[in-house]
Amino acid sequence: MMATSFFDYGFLVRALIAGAWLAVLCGVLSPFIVLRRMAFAADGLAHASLGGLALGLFVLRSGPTPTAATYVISFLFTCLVALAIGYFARRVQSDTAVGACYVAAFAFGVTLLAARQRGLGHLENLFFGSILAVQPLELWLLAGLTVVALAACFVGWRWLGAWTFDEELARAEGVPVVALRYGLMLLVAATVIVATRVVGVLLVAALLVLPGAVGCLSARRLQGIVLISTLASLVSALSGMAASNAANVPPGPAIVLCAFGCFLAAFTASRWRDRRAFRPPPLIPTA
Amino acid sequence: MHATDCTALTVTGLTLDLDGRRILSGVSFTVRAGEFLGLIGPNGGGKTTLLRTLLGLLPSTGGSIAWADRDCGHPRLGYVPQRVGVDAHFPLAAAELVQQGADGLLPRFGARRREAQQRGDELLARVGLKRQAATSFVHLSGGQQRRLLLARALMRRPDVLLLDEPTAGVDAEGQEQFCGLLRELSREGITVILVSHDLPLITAHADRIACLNVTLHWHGHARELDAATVRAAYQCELQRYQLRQPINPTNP
Repeated sequence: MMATSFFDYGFLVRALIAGAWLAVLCGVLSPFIVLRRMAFAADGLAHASLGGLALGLFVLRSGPTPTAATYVISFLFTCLVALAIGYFARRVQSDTAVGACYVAAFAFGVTLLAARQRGLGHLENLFFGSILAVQPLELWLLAGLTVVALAACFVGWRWLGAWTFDEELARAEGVPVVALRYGLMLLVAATVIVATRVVGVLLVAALLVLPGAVGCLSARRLQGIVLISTLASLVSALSGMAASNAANVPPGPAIVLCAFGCFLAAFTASRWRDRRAFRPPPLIPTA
Repeated sequence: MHATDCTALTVTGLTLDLDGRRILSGVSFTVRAGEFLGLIGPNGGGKTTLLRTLLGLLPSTGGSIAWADRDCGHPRLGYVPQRVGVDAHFPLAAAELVQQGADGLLPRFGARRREAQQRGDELLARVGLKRQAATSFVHLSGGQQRRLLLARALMRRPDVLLLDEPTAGVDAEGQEQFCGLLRELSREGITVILVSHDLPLITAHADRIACLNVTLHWHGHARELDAATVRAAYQCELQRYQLRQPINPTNP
């Protein structure tokens, strides 16, 4: 397809813009999720969002295309799951709480979708995304969320830095760690719901974890980590869409595979760098 | 003694219950500005809990904590915890973590950023970690990590430093250097409250000692600490510890 004809198709342009917004959004959030060891919680919320989307579709009796009301119901449901995880984590390990809540929410969603399947058509779009079907509403939601995430990151930069190091030390330094934790969970909840359209509920967690992992493997300063994470996320989204177009495969999995490729590259580079830095001296001195 | 007449901290009748168990009971003492206070006591005696309560991390059940008096103003607190909750792959470098300790909210740019970097470098040099500035926190030894946490706490320009067993697991030379640095800071006017199990070290460096075992058993000059006081606080003989200061022979 030639470049001139590409821009003639509105759905392709919308897909490109949606991919770019989502990449920046996930790229900014991802380092904090990785550094605070909340990857499993993010994955859990992504799965739990299916319950919210299913509830929205079930209550509103709408078709397979989510509306603004569907997103609001889904967001409230996912926030409820996040609060439940926080509540259960008081008595059990936090990963146990995440594991218990997300499977329940996911099963709830599958049950509701099974009850409404006749009117919903292709349900795999919810699971694996359909970026080419992105609507202007989702573009605006993604843009708004990205602006909120960037602004929150800028305003609370120093707090976020202290929080990623140690929660109790940050509290002693006057950082509102509870607000930061819930703020990040709310942003993740909103992101996974809107990102469902792009990569689906099963794959969105990859975009919330892999770019941050790439950043953490590649830089030693927080600014560098966030910058590399955002760049890796953008490269993954754009190259994934290009690969999807070229190989005629679904864009969601292609984006995630490209993100995993970035992770592998960063992992290999990190190992090579460490091996060079810590090369032991030869046991037998050479003449 | 480098303490001034200005009171940095007044604790009155501090009581704290956790999960139905009394951890601190009627603890009262004062610390003067610039004083080096050593806090000793057996495990479970409430030393760390007292520090966390002073920092506002735990709510007290009763009593009061008053920082400074009206003339001195509210002090800025620096905290060096026993350990930090990072895993083996935490990537951030020493210099970055020290600079994060500075007050403020927004990221710094231009001259302010250079100023913070310069101060961070100075503090790293002061705690002997200049060469490790670019090293990841997790690649530092235990002793180096504690010194880095001290540099981070100093980045806030604190009036009071609270340290929770910073010399635990550190070799003898490292302990002496660390306490020597705390002594220097005390001379510069920073109030130091140090929790430690190392009685010879703490009696050698601290101005005053507080013996805590749920209640405050004793609070006085380091040179006046004797075996009977230690025995009462720890509720056992501590023959391993040869207190460096002479013990009052009339009070065995």
